[in-house]
Amino acid sequence: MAIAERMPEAARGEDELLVDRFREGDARAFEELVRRHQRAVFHLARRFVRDDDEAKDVAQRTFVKAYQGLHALRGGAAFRTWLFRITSNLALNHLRDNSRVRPTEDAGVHIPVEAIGADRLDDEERRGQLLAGLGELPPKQKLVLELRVFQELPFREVAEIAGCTENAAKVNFHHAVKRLRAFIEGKGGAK
Amino acid sequence: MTCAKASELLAAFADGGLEGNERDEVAAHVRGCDACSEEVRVLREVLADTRRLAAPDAHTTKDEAFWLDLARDIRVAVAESRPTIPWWRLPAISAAFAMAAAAVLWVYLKGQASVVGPVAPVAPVAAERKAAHAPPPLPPTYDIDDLDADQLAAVNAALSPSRADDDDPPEDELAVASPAVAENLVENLDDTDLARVATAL
Repeated sequence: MAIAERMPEAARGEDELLVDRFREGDARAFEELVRRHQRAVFHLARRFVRDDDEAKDVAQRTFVKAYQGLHALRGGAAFRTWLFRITSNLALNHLRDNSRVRPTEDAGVHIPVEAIGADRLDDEERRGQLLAGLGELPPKQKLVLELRVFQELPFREVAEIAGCTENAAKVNFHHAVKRLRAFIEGKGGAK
Repeated sequence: MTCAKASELLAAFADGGLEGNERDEVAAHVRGCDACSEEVRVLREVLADTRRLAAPDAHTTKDEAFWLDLARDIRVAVAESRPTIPWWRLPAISAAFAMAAAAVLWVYLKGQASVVGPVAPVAPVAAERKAAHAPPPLPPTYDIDDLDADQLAAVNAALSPSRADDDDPPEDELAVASPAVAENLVENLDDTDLARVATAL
């Protein structure tokens, strides 16, 4: 099961209602938005930073930015898409600002060890290659892969968050998966 | 669809991310192309492995206290900030803006009226007034003593276009009327006549 389930239309509608309530001055509506989305935001951030503390920091800053900018959010825009875009921008900025820091083993890609399955990935070498591949993906490919595979978002929403066309999102996704395949096959440097 | 066109969509296709015609076209190509069909099979394996890295749901890897702490930290951080409300969403600001815009529009339209008035829309009205107040035709030569009051007033208006009385037509109308009067009157006056006009008025 993915980290975040696809959001049904009804849930989108609830977000819109909460956003409207917040704009009308109901501060508790924002707390409800935090409650609904903090886990997905944290996990999205966690894919790009080194540890939980950094991910929590990105999550906090994401919601502060959302709080400050929610009045300006266009009516038709989906709150979650907008929130994920803030998250990914902050996380990528964090990644860039800390690029001189020596990356940890799985820098940029946090995969809980206890979550590793049994089948093909019981092969430690294969798992290591896949982790290495995930860590080596260019930021845009990593973001698209993360949103598609781990957040299970449709490409339309992936594109909105990543700030590209839907076709570009699909192409980036293809190159990301191809690169992971190359790492698994021991051709890690292959583009 | 060619291999070249399909190739960059194969991962999205393998992941079930295509829809409509795009999905149908790639599917048709894959069915007829062994190389792309094999590529899709391998990509599906890679995707399955990648997803398996994240499963089970990572939400469960944190206890509830973790999320409560995060929510509290977010609440504190948010409380220290202020929402940035766009000016157009502030009722007072938007009302003030509307009033200011109306004032600017009023001043602009008023200015436009004073600039274009005498030239275009007011001209017919001025011409009608001029006809109504036109002095009787004058002979080519005449004596100032022969002029009646209307003719003297016209001479005075031609010589003093800036004078403004409540009963006088607006200055812009004088500007229209003056040349016609001046052609008949002013050219026929000598210095003595002008002095006598001034004295008479």
